[in-house]
Parts: sequence; C-alpha cells; structure tokens
Amino acid sequence: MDQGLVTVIGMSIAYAASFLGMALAWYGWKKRHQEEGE
Amino acid sequence: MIHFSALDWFWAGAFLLLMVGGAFFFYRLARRSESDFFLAGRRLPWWLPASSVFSTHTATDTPMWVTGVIYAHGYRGLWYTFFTAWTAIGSFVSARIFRRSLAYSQAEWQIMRFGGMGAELLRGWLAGWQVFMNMFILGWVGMAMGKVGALVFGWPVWVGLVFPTLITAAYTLVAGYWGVVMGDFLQGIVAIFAILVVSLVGIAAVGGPTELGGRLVEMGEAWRMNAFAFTGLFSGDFPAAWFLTMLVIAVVGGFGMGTSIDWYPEAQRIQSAGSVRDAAYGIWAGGAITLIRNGFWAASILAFFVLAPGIADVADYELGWFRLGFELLPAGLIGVFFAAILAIHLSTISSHLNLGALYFTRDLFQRYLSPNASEKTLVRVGRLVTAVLLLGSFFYGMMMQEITQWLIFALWLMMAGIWLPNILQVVWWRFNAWGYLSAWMANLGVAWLVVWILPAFGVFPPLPDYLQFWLLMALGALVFLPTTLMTKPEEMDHLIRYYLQTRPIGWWRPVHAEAVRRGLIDEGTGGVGESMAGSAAPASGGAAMAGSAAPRPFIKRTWTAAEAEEWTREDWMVIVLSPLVMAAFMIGIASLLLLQPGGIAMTLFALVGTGVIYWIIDPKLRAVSAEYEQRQAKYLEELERGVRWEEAVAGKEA
Repeated sequence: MDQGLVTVIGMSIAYAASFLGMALAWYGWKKRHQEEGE
Repeated sequence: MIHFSALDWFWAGAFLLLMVGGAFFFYRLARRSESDFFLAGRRLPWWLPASSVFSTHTATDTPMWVTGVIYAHGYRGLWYTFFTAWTAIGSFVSARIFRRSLAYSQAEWQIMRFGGMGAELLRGWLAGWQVFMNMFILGWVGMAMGKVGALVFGWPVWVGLVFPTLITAAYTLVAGYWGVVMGDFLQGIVAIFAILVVSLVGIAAVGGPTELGGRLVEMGEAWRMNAFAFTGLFSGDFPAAWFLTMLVIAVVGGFGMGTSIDWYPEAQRIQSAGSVRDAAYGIWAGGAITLIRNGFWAASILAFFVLAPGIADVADYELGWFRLGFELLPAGLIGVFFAAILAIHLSTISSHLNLGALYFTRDLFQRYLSPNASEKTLVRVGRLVTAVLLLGSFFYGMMMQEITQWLIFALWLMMAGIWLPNILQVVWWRFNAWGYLSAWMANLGVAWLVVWILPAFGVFPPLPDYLQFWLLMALGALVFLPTTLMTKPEEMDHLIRYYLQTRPIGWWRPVHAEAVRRGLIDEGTGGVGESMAGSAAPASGGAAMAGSAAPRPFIKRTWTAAEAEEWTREDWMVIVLSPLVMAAFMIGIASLLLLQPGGIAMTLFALVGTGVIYWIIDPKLRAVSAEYEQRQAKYLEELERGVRWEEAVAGKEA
C-alpha cells in the first residue's frame, strides 16, 4: 500500500479516539446543562 | 540464541523480584487517594521525577531506533534524538507554568486555560487521544520487547510482548505512580550502568577510541564522527534545513505544552514534584541525562559500525546495541545486561499504563460519567483501566507489526500540525478553545491533503518530512488563526484566574492590566495578593520594591516572592543558555568518547554552563517555590471545587 495512504489512515485511527472522547465530553456537558435546567 | 549462565539467571531473577516485591512497600501509599495513586501525593524531590523522565524516555525500542539513525547517518543522526531538548526551555517555562496550574493532566489543564463548552470538548478530545496513545505506545514498546525475546531466547514474539508487560502491570496495579516512580529510579540506575558498560566495551572491542577513529578514516567514513556533516542547505540526504527544523521543533517547543509526544508523561512528573523548583530541575536533569545517554549510545554504535559494516537491512543493524551487549559481555554481566533491558522496558510500560489510566479515570470517568465518585471508587477504576489498557496493548501490539513505522510517522505529522497552537495556548492570551480545537481538526484534513491526496494526484511530489512540517503548520494557521479571531476571547474572569495562578510567559498584557485594575496584583512586580482571582483583597507583593532605591544588579540573586513571579532577564539568560548546554552535552560526550578535542571543550562548556544556569536561576526558583507552596493547599482546595460541574455552571451563571 502507498506509504502516504498508510500514514494518513494510521493518523485517522488515532483521531477516532479523540472524537470519542470529545463526544463523551459533549454528552457530559449537555447532561449537566439539562440537570441545571430542571 | 544467547547462552545464559547460572549467574546471568540469578541477576535477571533478582532484579525482577526486587521490582515486583518492592511495589508492595508502596501499596498502602497508593491506596490513600487519587492524588497518591496518580501523582505520589505531589511531594517528590527533584531527583525522582528526573530519574523517571530518563527511564520513561528509555524504552526497549529506543536502543533500536537510536542505533538505526546512528548506523545510517553517523553522529549527525544524533539530531534525530534531540527532540528531548524541549526540556531545555520547557523546564524553566512550560513546566513552571504547568506545575503552578496543579492540573492532574494536560487534558485537565485545558479547562483552566480555556473556559465554557469549548474547553470541555478539548478536555474530552485530549483525554481520548491520550488513552489511545498510551495503549498504542504500550503496544509498540511491547513488540520491541517481543523482538528482543526472539533474539535472545528464540521465543515467539508474543511471549516477549505479554510476559514482561504482565510483570510490570503487577506492580503498577498494586502501587500506582508510587510504584512507577520508585521503580523508575532503580531501573534508571541499572539502565545507565548497562549503557555505560556496553558503550565502553564496544569501543574497547575495536581497540579503543583512537583506533576507532583511525578505522573510520581508513574506511573513508570519517564524516560519521561529525555531527554537522550536512549535505547542503536543501540538497542531499541530510540537508541543513532538516537539522534547523528539528532544532526549532525541539528548542522553541519548550515554550509550549504538548509540542512533543513526551510532554504528556512528563506532565505527570511535573505535577508529582514537590515544588516548582523540584519540577524544573526534575525535567531538566531528566532531559540532560537522556541526551548524555544518546552520546554514549552513539559512540558505541560507531564501534558496532566498524565491527560490522555494510549491513543493508534496517531490521538487522537496528539490533546493533543489543548485539554488542550480548556478544561482547562476559558471563554474569549478560544477566545484568538483560536485567537492564527489562528495566528500560518495565519503566516505560509502567509509566504509560498509569498515565493512560489517569486520563481515563480523571478526565473521562470522573469528569463526564461519575463526578461524585469517591476516592476509593476512583482508585478502583484506575486499577481496572490499567488492566484494560494492558489487554488492549497486547491486541494492538500483535495487530500493528507491519504498520508501526508508518503509525509513528503519522503521529509525528500530527504533532507537526498542532506544534504552533501548542505554543500559542501558553503564550498568547487571545488564543481560545475554538482556535485550538479547530487546529486539531484541521490538522487531520490538511495532513491527508499534503501527505497523500495532492502527491497522489500529481499536484506536487511527496515532500521531505521537514518541508511537510512547515507546510502543515502554515496551512493549519490558515484555519486556526481566523477561527480564533472570529470567535470571542475567553472570559476575562477566567483568564485572570488562570493568569494569577500560573503567571504565564508571553503576550498577556490585557489580562495583566485588568488584574492590576482590580487590585489583584501590583503593576511592575506582579505580586499576587493574598487571595485568588475574584477576591477583593488588594495586592501587597510590591511593597518590598517600593521602598528600594538600590540599583538592580545585572544578575539578581535576592528575590522576594512577588518579584520572582515576573519573567525577567535571568529567565531569558537561562532560556538561551539551556539548549546550548544540552546540545553540548550530547555532542560533547559522543565526541569525547572518541577523544576528539572538540568533545572535551564541549563537555567542559556543558558542565560549566550547568553550574551557571543553577547559579542564575536557583534563587528565583526558591523564591517562587517557597511562596507558592504555602498557598498550594488552598489552591488545591479551590482546584477541586473548580473542576466540579456544579461550581463551574454556577460560576458561569453568576
């Protein structure tokens, strides 16, 4: 496989974990704001 | 396969017993609190974080890639290893700022520096990234141990991957960061001993330093002894432009946080230090010892080159240092050498197991899933996650055998795209959470474009890595600078709170002016009032200066705590001198081992320079630390309140 392609695929795998963490943060933020609203 | 005598087995076994058995001494300390399990209670003297920095920087794969670059490029390959020199400036700038923030992790620091939802998203982003990164590092370091196990004992690779890591997990699970840092100290001593002995034995095997130099000249390879043997400014296989890029990344990166992948484990060492002074010296000494180690390794690899020239396969010559040890050391010392290999493996594995668990426990579980979890629950979760990371690393290690080098390259590229934002978040008050987050996201797309899409479609040829770095940085700036300037600055209350606690370097004038206007600090001295930001208490720190009419000495050696808060010429002297000293240590030791006159001069310069740095900065660091440590307990109490959701939301509404 092309070296550049493998590189960016590897990079994208690492980014997936960051997106998951960010999604969890967003969920936590929304949940807290809803609780404050109630 | 290497033959082990009974004495060799004894040394290797005794070392393992010491590592695992020693952990139980710290079991009671680790279970006391989250702070003990992850930061050893924030009270370590500087030499423990220093040994931990060195040990963590020395993994099983490190001798392989250092051997690889020195065998291929000679002493100029040492510049590949110079990224550790972020500690030169970082020790006195970013470490000082980060230690004062009291954040457990880099992810936690994000919500101190930035505010609102953007900061929360950043914290989640960095925590997710670090959980993955630590598992990834565990996998690749574990694979390196698997290869060593195959070389030494003929084991299948998975045996070396799994069993040494399991031993490490035993004491990391039991003793947390206490076990890590105490283990690192012992492992560091064993590792340094082995590196010195193998290097000297390797040089002796050629016939000594003079003979080694002479043989390289005879072979027409004298350039290998010159760390500055570049092939042109932009041309050839080792252009000076590449060297300058590496130099900038390493040295200037010390102003930022996260400019090197190593920052993240070192952030834990910074926070575990007993004071700002301990943190600064711990990081500096750890970095300097690591660079000195590289000098020793480099000399021994030149010896290996003379003994075994012309090896074409990278996988073969990368094992050069291991071959020197196993083939040249006498029976008995081989066991010590193997214990040293275990030591460098264990220290890295333990650090990353504990660090990955920290990011999950503190930054994801406690923050977003269970904010009211008890200390007992947090320690339990920390242990559970340590075990999960361990299992994940086995899986990952076996999966990535073929793509490791490209993944490492990918991670380097990732650091390239966010290198500048990592500095801006420290030095520029106006940089905000959305700018930083956009830099991370843009980096992915920009890297796809620069590294693969545009070269694949013939828009331009694949670029050398140093040009990719600058292009990625420029294209990323086209995204994060407009994003920053088109979104609001962080709330001034939030910025003042952060400013007073950490006293950052750089462009913070508007925040400083507002803090002065509110009576929280005095103009000129920057002395912090008795209370934290938000308090109405006036500052008193400048009183000592007000009545002083004596001219300021060129190098000031008597400081009040208020004066020491300021960034002054003493800091800048150290900032300039420190990278030169570190470079001189690395190149000087490597040259000294070949008895080159330049090596003696550079090593002397490095030793004297170290003394000068200490003489200039120590009074100031003592003043900062003494005052700050008195307030630390109160800061910690405020920090614990500040990171809870209820307080954050209430504060925002107020």
